[in-house]
Amino acid sequence: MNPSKRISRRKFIGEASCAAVGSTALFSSLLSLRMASTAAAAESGPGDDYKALVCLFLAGGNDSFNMLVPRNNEAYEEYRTTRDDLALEKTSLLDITSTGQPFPEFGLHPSMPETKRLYEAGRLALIANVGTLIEPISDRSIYINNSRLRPSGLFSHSDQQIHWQTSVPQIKGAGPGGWGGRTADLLMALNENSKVSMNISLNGVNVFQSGNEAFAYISGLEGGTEMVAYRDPFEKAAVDSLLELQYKNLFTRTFAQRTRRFIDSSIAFNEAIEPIVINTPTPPNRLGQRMRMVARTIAAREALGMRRQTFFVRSGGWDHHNEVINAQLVMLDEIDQAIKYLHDALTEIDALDQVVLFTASDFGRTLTSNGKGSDHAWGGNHFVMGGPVNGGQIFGQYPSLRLGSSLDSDRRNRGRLIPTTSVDEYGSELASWLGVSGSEMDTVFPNIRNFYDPASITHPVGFLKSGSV
Amino acid sequence: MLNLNSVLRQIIVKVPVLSARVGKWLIIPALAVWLFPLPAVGDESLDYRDWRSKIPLQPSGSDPDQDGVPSFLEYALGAAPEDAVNAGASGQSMTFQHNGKNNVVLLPFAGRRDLAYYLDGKPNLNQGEWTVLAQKLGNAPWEPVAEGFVVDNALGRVELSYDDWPQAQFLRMRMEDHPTLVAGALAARFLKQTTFGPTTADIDALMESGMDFQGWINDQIALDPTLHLPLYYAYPLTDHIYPEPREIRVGRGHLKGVVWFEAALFAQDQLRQRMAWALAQIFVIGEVGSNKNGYPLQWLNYYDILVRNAFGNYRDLLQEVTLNAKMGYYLTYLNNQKAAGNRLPDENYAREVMQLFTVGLWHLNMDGTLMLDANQEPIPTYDNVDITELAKVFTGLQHAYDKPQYDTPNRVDPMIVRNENRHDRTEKTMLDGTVLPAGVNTIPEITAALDVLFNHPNVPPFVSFRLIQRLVSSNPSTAYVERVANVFADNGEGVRGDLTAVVKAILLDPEARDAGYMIDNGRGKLQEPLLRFTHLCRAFKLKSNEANGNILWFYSFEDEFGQSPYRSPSVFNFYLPDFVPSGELGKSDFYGPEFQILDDSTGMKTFQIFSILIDRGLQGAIAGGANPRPSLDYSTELELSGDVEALVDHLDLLLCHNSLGQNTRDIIVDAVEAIPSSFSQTRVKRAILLVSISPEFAILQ
Repeated sequence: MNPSKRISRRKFIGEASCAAVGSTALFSSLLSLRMASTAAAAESGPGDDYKALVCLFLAGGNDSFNMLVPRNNEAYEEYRTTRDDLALEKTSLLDITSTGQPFPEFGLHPSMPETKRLYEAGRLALIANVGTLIEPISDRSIYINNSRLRPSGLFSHSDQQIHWQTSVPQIKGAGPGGWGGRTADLLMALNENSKVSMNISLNGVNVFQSGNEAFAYISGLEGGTEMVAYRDPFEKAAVDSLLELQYKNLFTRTFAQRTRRFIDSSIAFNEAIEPIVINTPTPPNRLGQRMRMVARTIAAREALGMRRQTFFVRSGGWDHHNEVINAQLVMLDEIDQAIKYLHDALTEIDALDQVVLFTASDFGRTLTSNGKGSDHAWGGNHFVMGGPVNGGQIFGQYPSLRLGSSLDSDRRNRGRLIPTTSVDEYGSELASWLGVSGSEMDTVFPNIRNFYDPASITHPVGFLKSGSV
Repeated sequence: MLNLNSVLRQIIVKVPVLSARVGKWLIIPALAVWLFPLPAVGDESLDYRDWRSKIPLQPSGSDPDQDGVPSFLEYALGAAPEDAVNAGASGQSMTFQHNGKNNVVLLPFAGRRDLAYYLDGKPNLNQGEWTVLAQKLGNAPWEPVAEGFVVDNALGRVELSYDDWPQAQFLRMRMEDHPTLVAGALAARFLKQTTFGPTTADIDALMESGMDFQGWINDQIALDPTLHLPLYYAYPLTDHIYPEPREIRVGRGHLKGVVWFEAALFAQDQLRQRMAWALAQIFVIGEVGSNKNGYPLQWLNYYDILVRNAFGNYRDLLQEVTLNAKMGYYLTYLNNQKAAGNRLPDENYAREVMQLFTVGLWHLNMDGTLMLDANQEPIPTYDNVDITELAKVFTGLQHAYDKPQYDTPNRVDPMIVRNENRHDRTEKTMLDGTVLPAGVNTIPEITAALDVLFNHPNVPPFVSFRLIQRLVSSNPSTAYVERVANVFADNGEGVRGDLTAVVKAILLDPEARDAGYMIDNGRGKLQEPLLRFTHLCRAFKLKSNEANGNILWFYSFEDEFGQSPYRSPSVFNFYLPDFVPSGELGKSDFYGPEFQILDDSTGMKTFQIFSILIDRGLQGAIAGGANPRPSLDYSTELELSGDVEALVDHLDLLLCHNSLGQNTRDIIVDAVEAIPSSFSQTRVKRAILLVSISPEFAILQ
C-alpha cells in the first residue's frame, strides 16, 4: 500500500496553514468529535430540538456606523465631526437605548423602524465593532508597531469577505473552509435521516458553508436545481436506468451513485418545500423571496429530516465609495423589511424560538468621508434576531468615533477601527447555541483561545439568552 | 460498436462438467486443427485489411489453404499472412486445462487490436441462448461480463469456475472485426488526455497515421505557441469601444476567461494549452486574494508564462513565476522588506513555493511514495525555521516602473529591485543546509535559492505526480511515477526539468497508452467539468468568433462546475491532489481530486450547462444576453439520425472513446428511437444529452 495515501487532506491543510497560530491543528480529531456529537445527539429524541442559523451577508462592506449611531450629545458631536458630510441628522435617527455602553442613547438608521420594534420587543440585539482578528489588538500603537498578528489582506474585499467566513484570517483564501461548514462537519450526523445537506444556500456556493465534508445545498427562489433530463419522461426513464446500472469501474460507479444521490436530494428538497405556503406577505424583492425560501425550508424541517440547519443569504451592493447616504436609505429599508418578514414568518410557522439570524459583512467602512462615500475599513456593527436572542441591548463595546482615537488603525486618521469583538467570539456564541461543545470549539474556531476560554460557562459576548445555549 | 447478435465468426468447443468428466473435452470437428497449436508469427501492427493484402498471391475464398480455419480466424489467432495459404499453420488456438479446481481456458495470443473477442457459454448446444462470459477488446486483457465470472489475465489465461457457471458446458470463442473499435478508442482516449476534447477529424488523422502518438506529440510541440495576450487584442469588440484596460464584463463573465476558452477550443497547439492548464493548477493565482481583477493584461501576461514554458524547463518557469508581480501580489512578497523593529518578512511565498511549487511537505521516494524514518513516520522536508529563513530571501522585490501601455502599477513586467537596502542581506540557511552567503543582491540570491529548491530530490516525483494526475490518471502506479520522475531528473542528456521530455514520458508510458488500462476497473479519472464542457464544444464544432460572425462569450462557471479559469478559491487550486472521496473510492485508498468539486449543486448544474449548450448553444446560463451567439453544429450527426445505432456508435467514439457499456447503449438507443425519425434534430440532441450524462463520459479510463 502506498504510504503517501495516508496523508489526508485534513493533515495537509492543517500542516500547511497553521504554523502561524502555532499548535492548533485545524481538523485534527474531527472524526472522533463527530462520533461524540452523534452519541450526544442520540440522547435527545428526534425532531424536538430543531435549531437553525441564518447568515445574512451584506456583501461589499456595510457602512454600519451609520446603521448604529450614538445619540449621546458629546458622542453625537464626535460622530458628526468625524463623519462630516456622511453624518445623519440627529433628528432623523430612530432612538433606542442600551445598557452596558458608556452612555445609553443610540439611534438606528431612519430606514430601520421594524428593526427598532424588534429590538424593543427583545427579539433583536446589536453587537458593536465586530471584525476579523487572529488575536486581540488593543490599540493603534500595537497595530502600527505590528507586535500582534494582523489578519492578512486587511481592507481588501476578497480577503475580508472570506475571512469573515473562515474565521482563520491568518490564511489567505478559502482553503480552511467556513466556520458554518466546520460546524456542519461536527453536527451533520444529527440529520442522519435527511437526504439533503444540512447547509442550505440561497445565494450559491459560498465559503461559509463549506467544510471538510460539509457543503451547501443550493436553492433558488423556488427550490433546488432539478435534473435537466427529468423534464421529459423518456429522458427521465433513460437517466434513471443509466444510474441504476452496476458499473464495474470504481470511478464510473462512484460517479453514477453520486449523481443518483444529487437527484434524490433535489427531489426530496423540492417535494418537502413544495406544499408549504407562508401567509406573511413577502417583501417584493429578491431578498424577500430568499427569506421566504428560508422560512419554507424551516417549515419543512420534519419532512426534510432536519434537526440542524444553516442558511446563507447574501445581499449585495454595499461597497459605497460614493452615494452612501442615498443608497443606504433604500438598502437598509430592504434589510429592515427582510428582517421583519423573517420574524413574522417564523412566528407564523412557530419556529421563532429555534432560529437565530445574524449579519456579516466584509468590513466596516472608514469613518471619514472620501468626499462621496466611505472606503474600506475593519470593525463594524452587526445584529442578531430570533427567539433565543437576548434582545434590546447593544453588546460588545461601542467605540469612540473621535478622529485619531486609540482604536483607529489608520495613521492618517481615516477611522479604520480595530475590532473590539472578534468574529471568533461572535461566531462561537452562535455555534455553541447550535450544538458545538466547548471541547469542539477550537476545531471550528482555531483562534478562539486567544479571546475566550471555550470551557467557560459564560457566553463570549452574551447576545444569546443564557438558558438557550 | 459491439453488436452481440451478429456473430461473425465463431469457434465452439464443449468443455466438461466439473465433477463427471474432468479432463475430457470435445472440440467441434470443423476446428480440430486446434489440437496442435502453432506459435504466432503475425505482425501485431497490422489490421485485418493490411494483413489480407499481404497474403501471398492474393488467393480468393475465405479459406484458401483449405485447412478448415478461415483466413479471418487465422488472422484473429495471430497467424502470419503467409499462414493463410499454409494448411500447416493457423495461429495459436485456445486450449483447455484443469488445474485441480477450475477449468482454465488458455489463449496465448495477445489479440488483434481491431477485433473484439468474446467467450460465450451455454449448457446445451442445441437449446437456449449463448451467455457472454468474458470479452476482450483488441489486445486489452480479458474482462469478465457475466456476474461472478472470474478472469485471471496472468499469462493470457482465462480461468473460470463451473460451480458458478453450470450453464457453460459448451464454450465458444467469437471474434468480430471492428476496424475502428480499439484503434478508435485508443486514439480518442489519447486525445482526451492531450487536448481539450477529441474531434472526429483528429481521431481520423491519428488513425490514418497508424497511431503515431509520438509523431503527434512532436508535431504539437513544434507548433508556435498560441499566446493569450494576442487573442485578447484580437477579440472582436464590435460595438464595445473601451479604453485601456479593455475589460468587458457581462454578467459573471470576464474577457480573460473568454480568451481562455478561445484558446482551449480553437488553438492548434492543444497539447501546449493542456499543459498550460495543468501548470496553472500548480502555479495557481486567482481573483480571490488578488486585485486588479478587471485588468486582463496583467492576468493574461501571467498565463502566457505558463503557455510559453509549457515545453520548456521547469526551472525557467519557476524563475518567471517567482518574479511575476501578479504572483508577488497574490502571495504577498511584492514590497516585502527585510526585518525592522517588530516587522518580519512576509512568509507566504517562502511557504508556498516549497509546499506547492517544488518540494512539498514530506520527503518522497522517486516513485512518489513517502520516505519513512526508523519509526515508520513520514519525514518533513522543512520546518518553520526554514520558512523564516527563506522568507528573508524574498525581500526587496517591487513593481517595475510604470509604462504607458500598461495599467498602473505595472504588473506585466517582472518585479525589480528599486532599492537593495530593502533586501535582507544577511546569511540564510536553507532547508537542506545550503548556506546562502551574506551580502548578496536580491535577484542573484532569489535565483540561488530557487536553484536549491529545484535541485531538491523531491521535485521530480512531486511535479511528475501532479502532471500525470492532470493528464492521465488520478492514481498512477508508483512505477509510472518513478519512470516519469526519472525523466524529470534527467532527460537522457543530463538536463533536469525538461518538460518536453516529461510530457512525452507521461503520455507515451505504457500506463497511459496500453489498452488494458481502459478496462481496468480500478483505474480512472473524473474529467474536470471544464474539460467535459470544452469537449462537447469541440466535438460538435462550435465556431470561433471570426468564422461565426457572432461574439464568442462565456460566463465564469465556478458556481456550476466548481472551477473556472482565474477563479481558484485559493492557491490550493480547485481540488487537492490527494483528495480521497468518501465511499468506495476512499475505502480502496484511491485519490479522486476532481470529486472534491462534485456536490449536490455542481453535480446538477453541470448537466444544466451541458443541456443548454446542446440545445441552444452559448445562451442563458452559459453566456446570457440576447445577442446571437454561436451554437453547436450537428451536420454529421443529423445524417446519422435515421440509424440510431450508428448515431450512438459515432457519439460513443467521439465522446466516450468507445467505453459505453452495452447496457448504457441500449438505454440510450431506446430513448432516442422513441422519437419519430422525422424529428432528426430532437433525436440528435437527446442522444448527445444522454451520452453527456452517462458516467462513461465523465470518467476517463
